[in-house]
Amino acid sequence: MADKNGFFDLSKTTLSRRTALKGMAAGAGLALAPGFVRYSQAQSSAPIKIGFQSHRTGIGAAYGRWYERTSAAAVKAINDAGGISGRPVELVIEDDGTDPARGAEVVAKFAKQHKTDIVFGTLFSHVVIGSAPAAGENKIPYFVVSEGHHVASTKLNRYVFQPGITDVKSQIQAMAPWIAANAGKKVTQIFPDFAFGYDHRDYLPPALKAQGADVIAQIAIPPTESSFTKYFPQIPAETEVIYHVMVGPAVLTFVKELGEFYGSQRPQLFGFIDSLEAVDINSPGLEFLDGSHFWEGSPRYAQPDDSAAQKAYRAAVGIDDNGAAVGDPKDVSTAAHMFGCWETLYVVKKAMEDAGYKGPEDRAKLVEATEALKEFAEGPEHPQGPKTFNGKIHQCFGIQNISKVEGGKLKVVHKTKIEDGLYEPEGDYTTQAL
Amino acid sequence: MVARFAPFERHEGRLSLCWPGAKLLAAEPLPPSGTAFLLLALSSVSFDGLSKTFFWLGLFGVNPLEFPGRTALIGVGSFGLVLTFILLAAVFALAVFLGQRLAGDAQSFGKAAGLLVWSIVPIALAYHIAHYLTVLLVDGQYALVALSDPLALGWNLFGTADMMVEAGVVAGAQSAWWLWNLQAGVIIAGHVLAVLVAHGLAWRLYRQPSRAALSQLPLTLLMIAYTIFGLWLLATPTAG
Repeated sequence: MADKNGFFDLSKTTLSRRTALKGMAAGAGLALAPGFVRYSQAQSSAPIKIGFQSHRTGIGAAYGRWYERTSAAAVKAINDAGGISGRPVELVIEDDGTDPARGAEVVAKFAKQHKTDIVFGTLFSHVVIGSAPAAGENKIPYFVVSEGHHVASTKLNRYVFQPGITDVKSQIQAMAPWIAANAGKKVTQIFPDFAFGYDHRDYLPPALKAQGADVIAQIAIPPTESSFTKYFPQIPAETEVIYHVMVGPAVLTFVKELGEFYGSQRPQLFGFIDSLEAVDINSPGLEFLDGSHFWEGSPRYAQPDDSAAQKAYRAAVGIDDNGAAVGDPKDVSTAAHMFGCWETLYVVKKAMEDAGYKGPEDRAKLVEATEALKEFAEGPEHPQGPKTFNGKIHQCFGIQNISKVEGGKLKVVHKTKIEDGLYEPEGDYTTQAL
Repeated sequence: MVARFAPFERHEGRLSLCWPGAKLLAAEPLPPSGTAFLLLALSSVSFDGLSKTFFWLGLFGVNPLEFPGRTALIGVGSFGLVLTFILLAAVFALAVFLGQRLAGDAQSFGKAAGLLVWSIVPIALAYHIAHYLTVLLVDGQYALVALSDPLALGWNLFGTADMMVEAGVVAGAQSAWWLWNLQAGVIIAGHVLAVLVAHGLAWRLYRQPSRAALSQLPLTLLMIAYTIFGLWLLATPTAG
């Protein structure tokens, strides 16, 4: 090809400022041409990477497996509907061993090595508390699904959020009106003698008091106890409700011995399903629970009045009508908690789209956009129910379920109102520097 | 070491069946390092079980229901690992030494210990199977997932990359019944085999039934105690 006009002969032409500007304008025009749009989109359609801090091993493993399933289902649903701001979402999973020190390392690894956009998914409180400083130091938003009160207490830092599950203080408080009105006014609490039990020991009495009911005895059981009969004589005779939140391998023994102690004449029983999460309610020894009531974040068993969103959520995650894995009826899910993973990922999507989030340089904008959220409507993105969000304490508040054990299933008999669980904020994260 | 317990042997170029451990009848005594290795194989798996019990955690003031994670227990764990090895090695050595005295043996202690330590292999093997069975059944699935995408590059070599890890196989009362019986059975079988092997080896050492039987008395007591310990490990509450 002849260079008749000598365009390519640099010795004959000098690049003036004017021709340079013309060239740049042509380039800009080119950028707007249809063929170029695809390219520029490809540039920004790199996946949004979400670092999933998973309890694959350690004491949280049963929860971890179901948190992974729920999150994978949510990510698939989000991607099928076009992703976040048109970008696909990718989960990067690291096992934290349910270990706080390892948890902090995992958060740093997400920030520095995987370079994920956010960190997500932690359940166990001590891992959240151990990992939160690493999230703050690396200035990476950390979305937990822990239900602990530690986020809302404002003792962590501005990068930690819990927008997908109500905290335990609110859950306990929301139980009080129903207990006082339906189960009884004289309540005896039996709880394990450590932090998990102390939440219930501390938050229930004032909440019941406000409803005209009283905690008449509090029985703390040492965590290593394997037999409980010797504690039962401490239960006052006038007790109308036993409020129990035992956890660990001895729960079945606890229920069995309580049944043997009372026979058929027992007070009302009220518990938190945390005691039996991922455990078949029809396990031998649990017959005594028939007719008793439990808190459930989200119902394990399919209910007759389930919304279309709830049905779609259950199908997407792969749990059957009994709350076990489709195809493996023995693999009972952690239904009361794991919905929080699904809902949190949709909150992340909303906040990223609100913030115009492009990449890690926009993390501070993402924090502010999340803090600006006010409420989440019930629907496919929030199948557990409607929620409000308090941006100052980074905590959401939703409805709770009270379910009765009936014919070997948990039947929802009451849904609390969001207002039942609201309390005065204990601080304000938004005053902290980003 | 494990191969000597295979139920097959090659006999003049042909594969034939044999009793597990029968090949030991011709085994050489192990050097001290080999003896220590086998004792470590058993003591380490024993401690891995012990370290998760409420009993052990309670000794160090750790609340098993609020298990602080492995990192917080590195010091305690390292101490326990070494301690279990020292204890097992000491008790084993004592049993061999007492056995030699009872049998009026003039052979070297090292030779007797190096030969009799072979009887530890089936126990170590049984403990590994019993202790890691549930881990293998559940966490083994993660290995299958990882096999399909070993470098986390989005591959799916064997179609298992998106496989859901199922825990139903170890959940529920029926599974517990099967698992418990299988684990207990393996531990007992391991100990029975160990006793048989030890007797066979003792016969090689002493060539006189009464002396061989006497020499085995302390080691038999040790085996009984260890069986009880193994079954207790299976039954006691654990965390982590």
